[in-house]
Amino acid sequence: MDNILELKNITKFYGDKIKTQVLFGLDLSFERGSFNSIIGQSGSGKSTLLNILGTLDRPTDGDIIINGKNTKTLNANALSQLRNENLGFIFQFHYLLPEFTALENILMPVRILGKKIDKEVMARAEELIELVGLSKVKNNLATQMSGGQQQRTAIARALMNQASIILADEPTGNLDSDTTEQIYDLMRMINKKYQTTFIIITHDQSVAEKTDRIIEIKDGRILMDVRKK
Amino acid sequence: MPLFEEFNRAFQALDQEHCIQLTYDALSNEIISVEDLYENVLRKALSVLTDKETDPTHKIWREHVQSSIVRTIIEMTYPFVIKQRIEILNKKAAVVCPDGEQHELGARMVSDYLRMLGYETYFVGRDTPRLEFLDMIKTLNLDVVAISVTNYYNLSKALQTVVDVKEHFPEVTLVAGGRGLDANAEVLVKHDVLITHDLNDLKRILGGNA
Amino acid sequence: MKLAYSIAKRFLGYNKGQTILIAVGIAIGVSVQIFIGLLITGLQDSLIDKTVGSTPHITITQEDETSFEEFMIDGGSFTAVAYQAEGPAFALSENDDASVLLRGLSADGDKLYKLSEKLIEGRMPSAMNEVILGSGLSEKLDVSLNDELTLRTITNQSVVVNIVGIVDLKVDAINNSWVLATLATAQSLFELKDEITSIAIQVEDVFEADVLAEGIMTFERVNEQNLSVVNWKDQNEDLLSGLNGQSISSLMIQVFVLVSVVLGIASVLAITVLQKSKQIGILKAMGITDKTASWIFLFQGLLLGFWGAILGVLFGVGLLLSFTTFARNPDGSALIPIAFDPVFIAFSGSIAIFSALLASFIPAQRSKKLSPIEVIRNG
Repeated sequence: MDNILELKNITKFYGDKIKTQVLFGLDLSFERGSFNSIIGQSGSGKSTLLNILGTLDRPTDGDIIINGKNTKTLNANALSQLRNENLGFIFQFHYLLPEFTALENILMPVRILGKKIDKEVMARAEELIELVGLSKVKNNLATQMSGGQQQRTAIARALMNQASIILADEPTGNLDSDTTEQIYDLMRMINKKYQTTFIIITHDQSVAEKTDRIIEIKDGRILMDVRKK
Repeated sequence: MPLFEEFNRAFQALDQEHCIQLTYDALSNEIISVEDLYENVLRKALSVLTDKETDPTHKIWREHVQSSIVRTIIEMTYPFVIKQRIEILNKKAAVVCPDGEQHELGARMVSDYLRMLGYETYFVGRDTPRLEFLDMIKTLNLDVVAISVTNYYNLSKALQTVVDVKEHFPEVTLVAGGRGLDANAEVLVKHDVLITHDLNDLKRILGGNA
Repeated sequence: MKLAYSIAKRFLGYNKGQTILIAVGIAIGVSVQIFIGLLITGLQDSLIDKTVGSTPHITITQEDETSFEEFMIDGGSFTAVAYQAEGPAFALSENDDASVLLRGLSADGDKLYKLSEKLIEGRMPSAMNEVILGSGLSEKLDVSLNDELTLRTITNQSVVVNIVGIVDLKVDAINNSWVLATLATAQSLFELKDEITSIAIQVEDVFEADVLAEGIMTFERVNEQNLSVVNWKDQNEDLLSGLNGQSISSLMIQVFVLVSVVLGIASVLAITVLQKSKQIGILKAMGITDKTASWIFLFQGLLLGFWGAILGVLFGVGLLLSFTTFARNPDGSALIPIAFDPVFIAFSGSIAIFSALLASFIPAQRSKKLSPIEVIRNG
């Protein structure tokens, strides 16, 4: 299988005067359509790794290749566009725009892309809303939804531009165990249906043990990289 | 093998009594050995069990009932294990599942294998805290520690445990097995852990000590 | 751009209370500016109009107080040019006599002194030996409309004139002494032939009077006849410095109101960047560009400025209207006639919009620098 995402010798330092090294020459690659998790204690560097994977943060050194494109040479605007078209994000605290309804949040990536909200786009949004089970609350403001519903909205939003990679940072960190299960099932279903690649940071064993690959980060290095089969 | 097929039919029907009767008779009449029972009947039957990932109709409660049947059969084999023991070694072994690991039927079978190989064996079983391993090795004065990992998530804890043990008790022989290692043996092999899949592997690995 | 605008609109709509508060803040600034600006302008206009509205702005005379030859003064800046022949005389009626000032005026004289407006009865003199009198003088001489009057000069020339009108010239000293006639009547009585004693000029912009007077001084005829040119500004320096001071303080008030409005908007918008930093972070993670992110805040500033200005204009005009309606003289006329200057009102509104835009530059710059990870990391 081809690699949709590759990291080559990624290092990251923080701080100007006192430099702290957070990542130590990581090499990692993710196959298209795979369902991965990253685990590690807090402060291990796993969130930094995910932010670098998502081009939200730049590494001090090393290359990130997304869909065959090296991001090193891209400027801020090109990176924004790359994110918009290839990457979807799901965060622990949902991070919806509270001023907008669920449907409007889901449509936001399309508007950022500069596309018109035509019938086709609306149809896709409605399909995703149906898929994540939000039909009844699609016109609610983000603040009028439960944690699980907000996370479903975030998932639908991440899918709106047909992102090939979804990066999730503790997507169930704020949810009870039943809702966690539902969100996991949803992500897995999307993974199978659209061949979307998932990279999920989680400390939740019930989620990690069901993914196909677990990468454990410790002190900025890969401690373990294991596959289910 | 007709025994397996008959057993599996009862096993799928959750007919505990019939399962036990079948295996007890087979062992009593020396139709099969304990090893045969474990490898060719119980493991085979357990391997047919699905999980939720691959089979949406999978029911956990069924899995629990079936686990319980297998556990009862394993407990029942104890006299036959003793009978099949070749020799008594002056060595001690413990079978342990790492922190977080809930599946212990495989570990339970391995502990019987070790008994048959002549080890004085302690079955510690599931979900054993990492920090207690060292205390256990010291208190029981162990020669062999067998670690069973079914859920590959628990490899992380297993790995940390192995590193701890290697640091404090380099002379202890570490053996590991279980489905969690199927695709990831190298994670533990790197730390001089011996990987085992069945009794023959164990015999080969521990043969030098036997 | 469209996206930034619609996000800005939604952000403002979501925090309604805060938005209304800022808009009202801007509105109060704008309305104070409009009110103060127009009030001071109105006050000054009215004061100037009262002071020099019906007097000559530039007067050309012969220094030795003799007459000179009439000459044409023409130009777009001059609204009235009155040729005058004047001199002292005695007025004798059947009942009494008084010393008067007889002033003969050319046609523009009516316009310059606003005589038609000030007529109590009768009409303007149009033929030889027709005069109008100040109301005080008519009482003193105990004459009324259509009575006859004898005017006698110091040189004992006399003429009998007809009273065709009584005029109230508002100032007692003038009311009690002026007799106004056509230029020809005065020239004949004072034996001036075609000569005149002065030229009175009104100009369009009263504050230009000194410059225009200097221009007149360069006229050939003025130099030839050794005439002197005096403008009202030279004669009213105290009034002018008073007006000037008032203008400056009005401007200062307006500037400080504006500065406080700008600071207010800037600080509130700076806080909204903090409030919305989470949203900006999410939008950036989704791929919004730094430029679009900063436009959100510029649009917020523009929208606040726009609605603040509209509200402020309404407040300000309302305030002026109620001021002119309720603050009245005993006779019912407005205490201060305020000039509704639409250009000034539009200017004031535009300044508010511009300041709001200016004030939003700082938060816009800050939002540009905001990194999505900062937001995500700080949860």
